Amino acid sequence: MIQISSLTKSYKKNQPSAVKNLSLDIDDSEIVGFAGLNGAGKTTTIRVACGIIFPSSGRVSIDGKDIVKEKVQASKNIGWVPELPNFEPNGRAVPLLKYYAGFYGISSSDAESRAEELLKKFSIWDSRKKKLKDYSQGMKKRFAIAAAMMGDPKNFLFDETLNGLDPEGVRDMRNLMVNLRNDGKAVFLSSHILSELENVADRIAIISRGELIKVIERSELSNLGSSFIEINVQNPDDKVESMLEPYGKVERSGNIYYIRNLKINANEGYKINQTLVSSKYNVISMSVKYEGLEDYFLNLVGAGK
Amino acid sequence: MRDFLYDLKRTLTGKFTIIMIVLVILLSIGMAYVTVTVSQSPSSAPPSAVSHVLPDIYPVKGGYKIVDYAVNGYGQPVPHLAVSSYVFSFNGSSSSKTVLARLNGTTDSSGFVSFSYNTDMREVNYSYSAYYQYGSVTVNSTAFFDTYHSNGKNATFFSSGFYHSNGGGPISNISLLPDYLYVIPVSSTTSKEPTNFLIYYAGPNSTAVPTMKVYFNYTNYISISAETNSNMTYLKTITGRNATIVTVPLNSSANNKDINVGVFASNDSAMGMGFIPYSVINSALVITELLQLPYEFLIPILGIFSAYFYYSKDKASGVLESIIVRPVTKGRLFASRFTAGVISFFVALIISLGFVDLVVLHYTGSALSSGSFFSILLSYFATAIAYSGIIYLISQFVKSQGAIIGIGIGLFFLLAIFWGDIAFLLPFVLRVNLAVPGAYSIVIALSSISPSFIPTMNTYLMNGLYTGDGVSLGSLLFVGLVWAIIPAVASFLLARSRD
Repeated sequence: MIQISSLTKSYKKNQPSAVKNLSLDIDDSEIVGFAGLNGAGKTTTIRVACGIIFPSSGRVSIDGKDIVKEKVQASKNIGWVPELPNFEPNGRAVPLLKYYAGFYGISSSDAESRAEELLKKFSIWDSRKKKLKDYSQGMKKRFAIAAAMMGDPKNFLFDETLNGLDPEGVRDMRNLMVNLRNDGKAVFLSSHILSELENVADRIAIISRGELIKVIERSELSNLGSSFIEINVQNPDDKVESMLEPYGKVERSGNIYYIRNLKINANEGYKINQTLVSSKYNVISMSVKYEGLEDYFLNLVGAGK
Repeated sequence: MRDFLYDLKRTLTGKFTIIMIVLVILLSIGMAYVTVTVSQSPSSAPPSAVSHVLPDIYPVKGGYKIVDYAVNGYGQPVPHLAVSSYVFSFNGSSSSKTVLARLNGTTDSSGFVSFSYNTDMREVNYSYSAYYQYGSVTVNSTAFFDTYHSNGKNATFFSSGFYHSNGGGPISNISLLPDYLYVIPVSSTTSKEPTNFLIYYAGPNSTAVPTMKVYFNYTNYISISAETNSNMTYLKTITGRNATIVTVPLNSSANNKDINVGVFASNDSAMGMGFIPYSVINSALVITELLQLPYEFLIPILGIFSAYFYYSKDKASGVLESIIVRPVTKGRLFASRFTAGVISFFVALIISLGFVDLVVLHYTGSALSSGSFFSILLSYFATAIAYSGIIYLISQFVKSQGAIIGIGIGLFFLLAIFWGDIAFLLPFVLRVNLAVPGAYSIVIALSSISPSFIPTMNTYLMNGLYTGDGVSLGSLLFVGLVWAIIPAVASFLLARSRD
């Protein structure tokens, strides 16, 4: 379990904080997506949570251990996969994994077999004799996942890990995260790819300008934001639009009408249907719809404003 | 602590550490060997391959008898030595001489070769050159020796000195008084010290070897003619032998003096004297001077690059982050890398210095005292730690690999190469009169701003230099400890508390 409490991180005194008073828990057996625009503070949050940088204030604890005060104990249960993995360029996979394993107190022989198991699992066993600088970006990312799993931690932090992966890689990553969750691990995943967060996350935390502005439960994803009504009318004429205006703001696209900013409840859409039918218009379909995550996210963070 | 020890062990057994240690050792030994061998004479043949010919010329009925006795550098007879010589007379000037006879021969198994020259001339001169086959090498004894024989009865040899064939300077002002006595310093087969003298009584043929009393002393000058045995120490008496090697006991009072051996007749009249200047080989001085130039470059480079490769490069490139997320603290990771560097410096230096000491011992016969050994070792050790600490410190502020190595190289030039000159020039610029007693302490203080001054300061201390200008064991320890501790501790504190 990862507990982030009132976390603030400032890099320079005269600049705004990269992260402001952020609190978020990532429970065991849970995937929490972390969404935000570039520079929103996602990576800073994750780097503090991993113990790479220090918080200015607040606290991050990993399974109850403070990442600053109890760094060694806390780090035993952290697996970090960065966006751009940076390993010893002249290192080779097995010796490097064995080196990392030593910090967890894993014996050399156990580390060797664990390294082999992980490298095979992530399809880089055949490249084990290559130097890491000769790995492709995808291979480096797979190696980073293997390195993160070397100590069998209970908590994983993926920082934009899906970036740059091919569709197969994205699918594998998705499956990996789901499997980790099913194994009882806490998974914290930051990504720009909101659709992927929608696919795997149990909750999605949205951060903007360093502040956590919304945490969306999975059950809320299907009815996010404001609703609107979509109506398909057969052979409409100009009168249709004026007939619909009392119900909200009307937009037309061919035979399809969208009524936004509804002046009635969404479940009162039958009234619109009655109005059109009584005026001899044939309504082919009518449905109540909600904004998608992307629209919701962009509205929330005020992108472009 | 387990994480610290684990990373320390891993770093110490890493490829870079092993390469660095081996490189430092090999470079040190190589430099010591080259320096010591180059400092030797170009024709540094071993004493066994050096020949000296000790000529004897005396009148006999109907002419002259010439007997050459050939010895090697140990004073042992040289058999089968080809001697090419000639008898000549001067024609009014030294530049014009007439060769009277050419005399060629080879020494017998006892090292002697003799010639006869029939003439009724009252004065002749004798000159020779000798060729000695040593293994596959022909050794040419270049000790030409002109003799002058007059009055038809007693020969007097005039020479400005007897020279080593290797051109190493006069080894003895020999005196061939009418007693025909050579007293020549020779090498010892068992010691590097110049303790042995060959006493060779040439004497006219068939002349019995007189009883000879051998005395010695150490003086700042030599005066053969005025020498008596009254101020000398009795060594031994020689009877019935033409050639004898005597060994003079040496003690510390002989240092930087001439060792004189005087031979006196039974009535205490002087027969001959030889001498050799003697100075105790100060291997500490030899080694500090030998190492000073190469280590002036090597040690700072060692400190700078080990810090860069152990820590700075990984920190600047982000590689260190992949380790920091493991169960290890930043402070301990810093400490393990820094300690690994310190241990590898110590291992490299102690082995290097040990081998250098052996090389110097081999060539000079004198080894370092343990005090000198460790003071030299620790002075270079502190220097390496200081340069390393400086780079660790820079790494806390500079985030680019190129900038770190650039600053490192810049500091190397500033502190290791130019600072000594800057510290010397600054007082001149500030118009400080260095001739005033104690004023040189300004130069010492300014020099101490560079860690490269630590070994120099140690050398000063070992030689008792600038003791009135602030050079003392206390100041050396202070400068060494400040440089070894401050940058390291400062960078450690920053490393554990900064991003």
